[in-house]
Amino acid sequence: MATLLNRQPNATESDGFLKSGDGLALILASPAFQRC
Amino acid sequence: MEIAANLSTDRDAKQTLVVIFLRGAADGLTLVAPVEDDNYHRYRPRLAVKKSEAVPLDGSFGLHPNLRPLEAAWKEGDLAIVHAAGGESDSRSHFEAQDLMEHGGIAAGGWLGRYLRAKGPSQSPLGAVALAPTLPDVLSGAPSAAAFLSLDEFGYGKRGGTAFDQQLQRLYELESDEMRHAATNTFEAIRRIESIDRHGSAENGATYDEKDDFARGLRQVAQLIKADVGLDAASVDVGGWDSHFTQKTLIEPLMDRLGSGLAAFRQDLGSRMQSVTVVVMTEFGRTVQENSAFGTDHGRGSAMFVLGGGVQGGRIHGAWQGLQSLEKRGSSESYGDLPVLNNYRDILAPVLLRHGLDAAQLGRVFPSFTFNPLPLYTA
Repeated sequence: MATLLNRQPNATESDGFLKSGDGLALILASPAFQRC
Repeated sequence: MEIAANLSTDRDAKQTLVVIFLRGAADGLTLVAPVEDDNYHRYRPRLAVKKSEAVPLDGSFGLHPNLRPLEAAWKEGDLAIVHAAGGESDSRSHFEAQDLMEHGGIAAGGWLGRYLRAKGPSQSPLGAVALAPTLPDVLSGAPSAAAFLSLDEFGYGKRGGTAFDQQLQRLYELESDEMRHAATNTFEAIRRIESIDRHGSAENGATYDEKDDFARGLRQVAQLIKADVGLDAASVDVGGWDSHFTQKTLIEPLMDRLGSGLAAFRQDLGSRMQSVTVVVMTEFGRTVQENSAFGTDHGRGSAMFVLGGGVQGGRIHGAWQGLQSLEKRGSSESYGDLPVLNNYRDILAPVLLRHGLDAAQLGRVFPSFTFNPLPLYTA
């Protein structure tokens, strides 16, 4: 996650990564990644 | 803190413009045949639409019988036709002519994209769509536009599910800027699209040919309009109109699809057609005289259709000077072009004014053009 976001994930991102069912897709669609 | 999606729920406030481009240079003299003109039958002994078979329009012209599904729209005053329509380019190259017409002249971006810019940023991620694998030039420069072949492509995909949706929305709720605003509208648009019964029956007894990608495209545009996702403009193409050889075999099935698709769309939308305009256009027309291969070659003027609410339908608009005194075209075997007497911008101008532009904005959509708009609407 840190590689994708270029920083450490925050608590909501880490929580979502585990709970979403598809953490990688979630991070790719996240606002943090969209801003990268 | 919750942020509300502001996709309009006011049906009357939302107008949608649907642009259908007939790629390949459709023969306007077959779509809308001047059946009462003796020269038409003289120049086209094998290809002319017979007067007895045409769908009568105004005493001079008749629709090709395969366009009969549009007869009701004509009779009910919802369909206007402009003949001898086209652009100023004489290149006769499909690529060049489509490029010029989609850009609205020599200008950056497509004219539909500039129209959407002039209207201001859309609140919806589905403010403009193209039912196509890639965005057509006409939508180039639009503030936001999506190209897809099926509404099934717009959503969370296979990853969609309550947990995924919830977590994604939670991430965007932490944002405080335009990204949160855009995401909120996107989530709402997805919710509205997912609420559509995409494989259910159309309304008002309309029937689309599900095997026809044009009809499926129109059906999906109608679904987006009915779902109130904030659709301002849509682009749908029908290709294959380049009929140098065996024209009848090539374009009669296309006219079938065009006529039945448009009629189903109009029927499906019912009273909502009052806020929808469909424009049908092509890059140029074809030679008046048929060639030796049972076809026609690249010409100039063709026909344009304007279908929708408020249009002064049931009549042929614009200038028309008949098919007399055609000159031989260089060393070509073909006699004459239908001259362009009605510039496509003068047909689009009243449509764009109806769809919310003012005169100054219109000048930015079609720069360096002196307008002489056709009176397609009552003042």
